[in-house]
Amino acid sequence: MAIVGQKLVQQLKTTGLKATLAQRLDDGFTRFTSGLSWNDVRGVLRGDPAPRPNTRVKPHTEGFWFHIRPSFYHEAVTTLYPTFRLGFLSAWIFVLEIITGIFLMIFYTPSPGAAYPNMIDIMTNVPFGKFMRDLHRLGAEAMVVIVTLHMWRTFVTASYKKPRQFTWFTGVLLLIITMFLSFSGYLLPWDQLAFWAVTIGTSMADAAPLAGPTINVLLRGAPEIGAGGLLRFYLLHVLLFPLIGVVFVAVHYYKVVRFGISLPPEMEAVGEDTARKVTPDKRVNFMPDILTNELMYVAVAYAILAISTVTWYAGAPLENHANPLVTPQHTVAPWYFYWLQGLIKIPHIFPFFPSDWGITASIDGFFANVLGLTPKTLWGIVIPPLVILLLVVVPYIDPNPSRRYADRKVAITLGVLFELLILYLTLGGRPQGVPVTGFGDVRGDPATEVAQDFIPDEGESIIKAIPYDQLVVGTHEVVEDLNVPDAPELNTVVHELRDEMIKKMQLSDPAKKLSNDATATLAVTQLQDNLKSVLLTINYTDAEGTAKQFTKGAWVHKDAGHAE
Amino acid sequence: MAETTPNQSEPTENKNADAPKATSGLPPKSPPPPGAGGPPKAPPPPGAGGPPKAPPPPGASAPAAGGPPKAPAPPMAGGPPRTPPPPAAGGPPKTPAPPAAGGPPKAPPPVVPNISNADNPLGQVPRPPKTPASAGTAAAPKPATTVSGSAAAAPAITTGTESTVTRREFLNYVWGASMALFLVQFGGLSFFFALPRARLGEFGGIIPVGVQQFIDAATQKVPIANNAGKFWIVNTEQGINALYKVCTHLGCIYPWSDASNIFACPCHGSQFHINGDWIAGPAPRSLDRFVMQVQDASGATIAESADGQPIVLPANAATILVDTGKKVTGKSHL
Amino acid sequence: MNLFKKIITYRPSFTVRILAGLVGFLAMLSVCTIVGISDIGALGERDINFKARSIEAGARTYAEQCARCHGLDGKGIEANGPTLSHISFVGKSEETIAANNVLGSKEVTKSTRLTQLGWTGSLVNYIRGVVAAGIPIKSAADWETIHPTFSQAYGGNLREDEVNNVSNYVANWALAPYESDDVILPPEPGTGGTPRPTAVPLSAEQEKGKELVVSLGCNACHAIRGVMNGAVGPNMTNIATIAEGKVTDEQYKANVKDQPAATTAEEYIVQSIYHPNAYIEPQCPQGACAAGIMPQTYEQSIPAADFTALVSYLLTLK
Repeated sequence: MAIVGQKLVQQLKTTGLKATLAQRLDDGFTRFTSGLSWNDVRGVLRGDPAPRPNTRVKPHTEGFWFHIRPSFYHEAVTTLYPTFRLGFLSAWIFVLEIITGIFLMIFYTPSPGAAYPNMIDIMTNVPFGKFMRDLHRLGAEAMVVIVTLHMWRTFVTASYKKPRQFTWFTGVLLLIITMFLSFSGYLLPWDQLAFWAVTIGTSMADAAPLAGPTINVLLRGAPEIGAGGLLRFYLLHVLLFPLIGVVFVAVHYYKVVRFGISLPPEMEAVGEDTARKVTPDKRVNFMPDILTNELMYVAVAYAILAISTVTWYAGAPLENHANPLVTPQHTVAPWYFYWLQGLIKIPHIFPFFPSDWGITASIDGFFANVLGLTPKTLWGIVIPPLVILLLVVVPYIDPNPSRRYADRKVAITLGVLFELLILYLTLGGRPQGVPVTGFGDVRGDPATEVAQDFIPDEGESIIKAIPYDQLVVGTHEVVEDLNVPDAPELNTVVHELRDEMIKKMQLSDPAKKLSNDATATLAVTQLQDNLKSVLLTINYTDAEGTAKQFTKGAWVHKDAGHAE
Repeated sequence: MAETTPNQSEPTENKNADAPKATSGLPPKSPPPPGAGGPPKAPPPPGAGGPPKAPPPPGASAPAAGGPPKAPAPPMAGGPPRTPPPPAAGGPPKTPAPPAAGGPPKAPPPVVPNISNADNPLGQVPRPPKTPASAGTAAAPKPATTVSGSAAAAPAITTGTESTVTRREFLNYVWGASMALFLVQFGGLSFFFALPRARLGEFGGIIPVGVQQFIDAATQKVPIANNAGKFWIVNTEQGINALYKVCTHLGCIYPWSDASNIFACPCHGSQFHINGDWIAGPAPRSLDRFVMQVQDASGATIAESADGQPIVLPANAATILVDTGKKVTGKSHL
Repeated sequence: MNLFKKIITYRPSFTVRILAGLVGFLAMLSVCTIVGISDIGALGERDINFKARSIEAGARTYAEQCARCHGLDGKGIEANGPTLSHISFVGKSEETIAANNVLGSKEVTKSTRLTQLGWTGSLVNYIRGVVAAGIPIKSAADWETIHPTFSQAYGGNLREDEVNNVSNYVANWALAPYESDDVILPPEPGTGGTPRPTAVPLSAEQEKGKELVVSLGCNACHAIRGVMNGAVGPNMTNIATIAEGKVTDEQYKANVKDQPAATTAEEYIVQSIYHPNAYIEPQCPQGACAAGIMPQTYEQSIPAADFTALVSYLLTLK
């Protein structure tokens, strides 16, 4: 201490207070930046050439935050192409999700009695609560899209080839982790959408041979999803998967830096990987260029996300409270799992022989009877891991040394076909199935379907969106020319309803066709001073000629805000 | 900034930034041509594929890279931490700058360094040439000494007008300010997000109490407990009040003692009158009370107590709203 | 194609980068500011929306669970359930879910029924309690059943949120309740319900007997509900009725020894105390009754006046 004090006094005597202070501050600043003095930083900000000795590499060698970042990039990878910065964006969306997630954790308790009221509380009693929730939800969906695009880009530019096969492998793992993160978070609002989507998902686990029921029970904490399941999914969502994600992101990124970002295929000799051989003339330094680039991208990406959240994004949905006894019509998995639902809907695969030969041997019969794999198990449990395995082995089964697009026509074609298949299965996973071919169309009884379209069990409802005042009390015939005075919306909806019924009458499939003599009424009753009930009644004849009636009701409160 | 085309000026500057580094460690060379004069190369021709570029001649790049591209410590390979001994320090490697620098207008007028270092037409903050000693220390592998070495060797902050702020620098500062501003706003956002808010009827919010309870408190001459709001309803000759149930000493809940007609805290024996005034005991002040608002049957406010003093109950009072979020500390007797 | 290539290989200059980043941060600043300002009003609106949706959900539950006894219009159904939508039950309010009105309901008229019942809490809390935990007695003798428990916590099938929803729905009738009396009104409390046995006050002598039954030590072995808790000898809560029955009981008459069979209830009681071994009651709290446990000296040890008081008390235990 005495020596330090002596030096300080000495310095003060020789150079004066101001200069000493300046020097000490600069010293502290330099330690803070791991080696850049104030002048160095100014130089960076001004875009000056690097000084000699080049202090700008010190944060990379001395500092923690920059040590894994390269101190320069090849200029060819600093434009949008070839990476489109998708890997960078994936990492930053992950960070965004963690931040918004932690905010939401302040107000959420993973218990069936508290979860749903907490969601309502977040949206009605917490400033910025709805904003955070929407950011989190939109970010999650964007993250799935972005990581998929990132994988797609890596495939197209063949950046998975030697020596980057392991990087690709960790990437596939990260894709799976992203999906699981999204799926585990899906349950937390504890509304009908969440509860049933996850019930379906875990039921698929149940179908796995041997370990399936055990896995199902482990995930759910009980035979049915309840308090145990919610807590376990919460722990998976906020602890286990983020931890694994961080670990694998670290491994993945380390590998990326180790091998360097691969150059555009056209720039390299076939079979060569010259990403690390960067001549000085091709280098773009991290400071200031890459750093400003990255900051810009983060700013722009976050801004776009924030603006989207408050403009076109309809907001994270909150349906009715989870009801373990009632499954809403057309319950679906989250959209990024539609392809799984589509897989399960694959009908009987081609029988070995034409059906009128009377021999019933078929492929799925073979799987079911000989291998013990029912279609649900085969398509829901066996195939998806094979798909993932296929993704994983891509680098190892690709014999083509060239990364050039022109040389990879087969690979790219196969990739496109694969993607189209997934897209087809995704469309098929929806309740209405694929348009035109009708694959995956599981809509049933026509009257139920019409009612579901207009008064769905859950979610935004066309009928409820009619302004309260225009729900004129009385019984309205559903006809094309209905014209209730001062109720234009009501009239429009009734006309649409009639059109829908007519469309259903024109179908050919007798199971889905609505009888031509079908009629409907919309009965509006005033139940309480500010509450109306709407009853849709459809009278029709079923395929056997029996007269049938189907009713579905909805309740509309004046202040419920459905019309917004 | 009158850049010719965005694509072309940047690489130029970057190459300039690279150029000195490229030659560090080597005997000073004539400026590597790619860095200087004009667009070094067209932006990587995306489609133009063409002949693959041959790997740069080993001589030029390998040593300059500070090691073979597959250096064992990869991220560091970007630039050699080792700085060469003096010859590189004040020497010619800065020359490549001039030709290219003349082109892209590094607009700010050339600065007049007051320390002799003529080779910084880009307005680089001048610093005195390193003494061999400090450069030697700078060359030491452990850069800790380098940091203090170079810092001690030169006054770090230049005062005066040697270097004016360039437009780019200024824009960077503005950007930094916007980032700082956003962080501040985000901090505020987080604060308001996390701040607990009490709903109606919850402790911390407004608790409505029917007037009958206050009337009963007067006729029975006892305080009436409201546990949801954690206060005593009292109605004395001076008027009504809502006394916080937490003792002002160390936070115990004090009960009413019928026998002695006072509040008596069981923890350390503080005593208070029915109107909250301190009688005896270690408590430093009288009981805290909550702000009240008296409403009539239609919901209009007819009386308010903002300072914690009792208010006389008006005849047409119907409801008293006790705001447990607004506490008035009792009067200190010390 | 060329344009596409140009776009994706564009390398923004330093200035463009800074400006783009600046615009990004400014955009985020603006978005956060706008959200912050609009949330001030939006929170309250959304609160109302969700409370309204709670009432909508309650309407469905009501139609499924409550309408069969109380009617879809809440007017009540003969012999099933009383009115819920009448002004006497829900009172009248100007707003039931307003977020701005501090009370949540601007009460115009109080519920007279709740005052009758002595309920001092809120209407919604009363309804919630009844829906969740039921009412264990009927307010009118001719209701079919007591009000069942609906909450899952009490063995019913409604979740807590469903109980809340339906309570909000019923309370919502207060906006425009029925004011005419063509509804099924419940009877005044205590007038039409399940008849209860009324307690007849004891005379002084019987009071003395009541004290004696403890002070003489009978509580060591016998129980009388509300008085003592012995668990060795037979329960005496209804001893007067039992004694009546013994007089004509064949089993008693066949098994009584050494003493003549009692012909009145009083005689049976006296016999049980003075000559306990004359007849051993088969069933005791801990198994079969055994002979010789009850002391046989009471004839000598209890003074006559006390004994009379004791017996007169025991004869009130019907």
